[in-house]
Amino acid sequence: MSLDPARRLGLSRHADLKSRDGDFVLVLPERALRLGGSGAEILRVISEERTIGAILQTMRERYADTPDIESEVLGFLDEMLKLGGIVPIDPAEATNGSSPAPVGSDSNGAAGADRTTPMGAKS
Amino acid sequence: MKAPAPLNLIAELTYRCPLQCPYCSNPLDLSAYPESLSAEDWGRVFDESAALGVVHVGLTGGEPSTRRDLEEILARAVAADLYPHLVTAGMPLDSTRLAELARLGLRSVQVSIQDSEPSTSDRVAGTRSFEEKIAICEKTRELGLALTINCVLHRHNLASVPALLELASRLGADRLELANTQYHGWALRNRAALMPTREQLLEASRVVREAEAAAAGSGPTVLFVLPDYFSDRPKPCMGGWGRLALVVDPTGMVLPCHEAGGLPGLEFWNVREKSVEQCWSEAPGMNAYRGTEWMREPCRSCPERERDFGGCRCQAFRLLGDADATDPACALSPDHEFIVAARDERVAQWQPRRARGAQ
Repeated sequence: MSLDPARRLGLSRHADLKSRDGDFVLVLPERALRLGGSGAEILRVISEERTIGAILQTMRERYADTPDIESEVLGFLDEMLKLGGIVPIDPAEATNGSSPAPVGSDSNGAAGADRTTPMGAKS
Repeated sequence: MKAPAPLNLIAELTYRCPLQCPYCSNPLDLSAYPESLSAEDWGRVFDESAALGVVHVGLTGGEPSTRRDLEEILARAVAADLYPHLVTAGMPLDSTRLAELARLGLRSVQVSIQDSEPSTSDRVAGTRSFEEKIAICEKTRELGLALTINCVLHRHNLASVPALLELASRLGADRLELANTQYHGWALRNRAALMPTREQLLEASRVVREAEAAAAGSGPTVLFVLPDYFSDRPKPCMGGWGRLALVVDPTGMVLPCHEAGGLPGLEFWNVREKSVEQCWSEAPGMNAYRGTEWMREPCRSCPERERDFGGCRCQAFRLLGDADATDPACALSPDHEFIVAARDERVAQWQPRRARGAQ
């Protein structure tokens, strides 16, 4: 999956961002991932700005003291794209009103998804 | 130790199912499991689970659509702010009912198929069902819900992996789970009839890798993991005992996995008598294998103990009669020979699951 700065991203319509006891959790059809700090913040930024370049710019400004923030954000986006939590947005689709799902309005702390679990599959 | 907050609730609404798959993970004797939780009970389980940290509920079974009150149960999951996911055999669910479930807030559906063709799928399921399953897959996509297709793999259908990949792609599935059989319940009883060869597994793995490379990120996400009988290390069963997910069985027992109720000597608690929080955090059985303190060598000093959590307690008990033992799927287990020997067991025909004792 290309991480071209011009690429537009949105939260998958199958994904939810839920809050439990101060933590944010990304919920997908078959799994849930507890998001440490900047992970939840990145997903919130995606709902506002959507291009990878804009996401990086915003996160660089917010984390000016973190030298490797860019690689952290790109790593997180790559992981989320592979998991299907975020999806590329076709520009034509975005202007058609097919916007990605909204995400929560709060965020906390620092960096990435820390726990994931598979759901419900039984042999 | 302090109980971690779970994220997932596996709600086993019933053990009833119209299929007779020979690898079913239901208990062998269903008469010991009278279904007793009402929709109202489930509503309380959902509310208390959400308060504990749960965000996602898998409505499963058995076959959840055999419950006439599935709509009410789903509505209560939505009201509790859980993400509802339906795990179904695709029947007796029908398109009209699925549309109603979607209207009530269902988000995603996992449909099981048994093979890529009607005749072979129906043979494993023990009943005509393939066409109904495909209709439910199509309706799921039409309704805009996320679709996972799940096919349990064994030596009689591993050659169908290319056709399964094609079918999932044609149906527009978001995800294809090619789930190698786990040998519990009926699958353990039928192990010698289901056990694949290493060559079959390696070929299927190669086909999946090539298909993923060719798809380059388009098409379904494919999950294919070598089974623990053919790996050198155990799987991190349920992501760790009592760590990420809780199971509530049809009688209301809170368990760390759907098999654990069969382990002797462990005391689990029931949501009819205690809160979900008490059942999860305080029940002696839930705390028996949390963390790493319970481990013996070679697990206790193993650098991978925080990754695989000692593997599967139920497998240790079923194969060795000792739930405290290292999972014999691990090559470091002194009992690994039981797994190695099982790889070469072969009988021609499986025994279909019987529903005797089911509600």
